Amino acid sequence: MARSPSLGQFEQVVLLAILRLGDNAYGVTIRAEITTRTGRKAAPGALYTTLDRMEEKGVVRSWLGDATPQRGGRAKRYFAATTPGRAALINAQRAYQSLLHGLDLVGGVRA
Amino acid sequence: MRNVAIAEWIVARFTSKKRAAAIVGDLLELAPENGRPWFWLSLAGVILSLAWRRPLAFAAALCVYFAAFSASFWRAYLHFRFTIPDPHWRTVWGVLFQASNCLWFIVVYAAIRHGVRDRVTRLLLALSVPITAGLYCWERPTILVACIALTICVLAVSTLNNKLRRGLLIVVAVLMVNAGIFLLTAGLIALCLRFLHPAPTGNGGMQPALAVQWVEFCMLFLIAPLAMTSAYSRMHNWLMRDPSPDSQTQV
Repeated sequence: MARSPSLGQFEQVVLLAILRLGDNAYGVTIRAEITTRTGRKAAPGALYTTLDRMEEKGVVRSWLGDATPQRGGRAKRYFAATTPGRAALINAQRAYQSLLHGLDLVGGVRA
Repeated sequence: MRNVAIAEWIVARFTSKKRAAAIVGDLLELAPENGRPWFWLSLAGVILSLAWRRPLAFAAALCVYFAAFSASFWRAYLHFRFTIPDPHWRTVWGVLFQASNCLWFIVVYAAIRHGVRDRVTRLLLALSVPITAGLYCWERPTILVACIALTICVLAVSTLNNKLRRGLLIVVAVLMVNAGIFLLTAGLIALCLRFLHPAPTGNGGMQPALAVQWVEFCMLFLIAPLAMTSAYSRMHNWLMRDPSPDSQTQV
């Protein structure tokens, strides 16, 4: 069985945003979703290089949508998580949950 | 907004045309609410994010190339003068040293551009270490034999897997480009010497004119590295993209 690729923290945030957005995940909406959910404004440069890197890793795939006049006739580049991407995210989240197990961080760290 | 086509053209220098159009389109979509300065600042940020690895990788690789070249010069040309009297064998060793320098140059470039987890980077590293160790420790038969055996093993293993075979093809292509530039340099120097008078040295001998030495330096330390990195990047993009249908990109 092939080993799923590892994901960095920002990559996980981006992948979760893509999963939440479903069919409408492209640069603008992904950035807006990250800002809304995390309160963190992702720099466009960081977002696009992360998306390119994730695509190289095979955790997301992209395709071009229709061109719109609002964008000067330029097409949107939509993203979707791949099966290895979902597996990598599940692995990463399991690792976090395992580390969090037994800690009550909301009410303060248990002594 | 005017000059958007220029912005798109600039971004397209660092990524594909379709991706550049999508990035500029995203920024244009947000420009009415954020303003024109935001658009250009964001564009500058995108270009910086897309581009910073290339010059850094090239500069770091060039430093390593200089260091490897200096080390091999001392080893091959000064030490071998006394230990290997046959000039033909000295040429063979010189070519092997140059191949080793070239491998180290591209290892550093590949590690910064694509990371140490990249298959080609690992293959380059797996070849560079035994080849270099064998060249520098050739007087010790045990180490030399171990290094040759290890290199053969790495080459054999790299033919088993399709991805590694492609990686090996990239390595061979880069070495061929380097060899081609070297041959071109030698031809160019021979051509230059026909038209330029050599300068006299202190002991009555003759040495090549300074202009010829500059041509040689530029060819070896600027044109050759640029050609190698260009060949590496293009072949890496062409051969190492994941062809599995789940991750296929329609951009």
